[in-house]
Amino acid sequence: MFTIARKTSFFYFTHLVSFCAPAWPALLKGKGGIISMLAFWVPLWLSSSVLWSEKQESYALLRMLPVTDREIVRAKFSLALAATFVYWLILALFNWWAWGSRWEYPFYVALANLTCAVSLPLTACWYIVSWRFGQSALTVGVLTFIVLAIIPTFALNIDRWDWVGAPGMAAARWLANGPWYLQLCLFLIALAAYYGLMQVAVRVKQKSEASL
Amino acid sequence: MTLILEARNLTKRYHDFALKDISLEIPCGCIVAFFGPIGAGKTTLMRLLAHQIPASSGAVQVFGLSYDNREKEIKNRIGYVPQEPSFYADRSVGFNARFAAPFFARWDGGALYRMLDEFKISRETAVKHLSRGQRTLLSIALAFSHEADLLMLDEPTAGLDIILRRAILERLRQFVAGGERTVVVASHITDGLEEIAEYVNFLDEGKLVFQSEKDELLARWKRIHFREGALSPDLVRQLTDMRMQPFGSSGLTRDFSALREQLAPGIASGDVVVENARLDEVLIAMLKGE
Repeated sequence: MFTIARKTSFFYFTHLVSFCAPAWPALLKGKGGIISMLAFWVPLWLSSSVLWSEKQESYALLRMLPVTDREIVRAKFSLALAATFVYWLILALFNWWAWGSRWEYPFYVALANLTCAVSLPLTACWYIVSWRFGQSALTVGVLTFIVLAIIPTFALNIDRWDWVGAPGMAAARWLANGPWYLQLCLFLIALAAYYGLMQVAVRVKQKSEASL
Repeated sequence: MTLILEARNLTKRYHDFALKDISLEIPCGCIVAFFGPIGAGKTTLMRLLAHQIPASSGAVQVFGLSYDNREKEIKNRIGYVPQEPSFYADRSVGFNARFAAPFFARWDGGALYRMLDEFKISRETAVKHLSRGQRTLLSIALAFSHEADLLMLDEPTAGLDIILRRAILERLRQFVAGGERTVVVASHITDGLEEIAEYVNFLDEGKLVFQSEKDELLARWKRIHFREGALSPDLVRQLTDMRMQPFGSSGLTRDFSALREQLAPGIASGDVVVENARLDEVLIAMLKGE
């Protein structure tokens, strides 16, 4: 399981570095609002990591080895979960660095929590699509997601450094203004959904030949 | 007879092909061959037996265990060589070997690298730069490197030159020599395999049309060479795969023992000569429904 996760982690790591790189100059200039853009990288980063790692994966080789589909799925899902946590930590550190330890801008924390929580089941769905319908379907799915969801969000807010008042941020604002445990609940729901989708993914992986 | 592999009512349905209701038993300590024309279902059957694809229905037991709950244990003891070996193509041979190693409970890296050296495959070469035959050899080397008890090979000699083909077949023969290990091999050509296989199975159009011990099969099927007029027309009509030859004709019989008495006078006079049929002749005759 560790061997599979270690190999796949290469894609998460390289994508993380490339996705975070553009944010450094803005952060060094003290433009803390860049964190909102970084938060929106999360689903994009996870989706592209899944896409590229799946393109490079050799499930036919794995099938020949003494490893079960359940272990493969667990390895992939555990890695995505760990990667999301690492990214959340990075966002939290950026937040702390940009705004100080007083957390004056709970909006950014809420936004990071929201995007990380939504990204988890989204990542699970990408894996299910890949194993059920093959890599072509995954490519179409991820590209469609980027075109319909991510690009418009960035296009609408390209001239802003601070997304607090930006359109489409109502959910993050609502979370930021609500009690703290609301965000905890959000994470717990996301984790439960993620676990449920992992069970579905195991069954899909066992039954389907699309990824072989 | 200890069974090493058992399949019951194994079925796999695709939209344009189905492998239907295969039941078979493979004993320990021998080489079992599956023959059949291209598209007969050999690869599908091998993939089902090695648990590479899920079956539509039916069950497979290997070493008396089921893949449902003992998959890792079984695969630790199986060496599977697919028809189209798959690896991390962009990575080197060495990387692929190092990747596979930790999965196996028993791993002999030295044996692997000795075989790769013997096959003249460099560890540094990217798999995508290997020929099809070299990929098969890499797959065979991997199958031999974890002390498997059962080898399952799908067209293992395809794409190999005659020297390597001989070397692989000899390795398979040595593998089963102790009587405790088994080889299951599928091929659309009998070349070389007929010498080492002890059991022969024949697949056609997704069905297992026949299973037999090779020696028993070849004891029944004989090629009869005869001079013109040496056999009665009735006897000639019982032969198949008729061929004209310089000294007369020849034909196959599927039941030599039934003709033995009738052929005895001709054999005694030298007008009739009986020889063992070749396995490919027998299979072709069966394919034609004779």
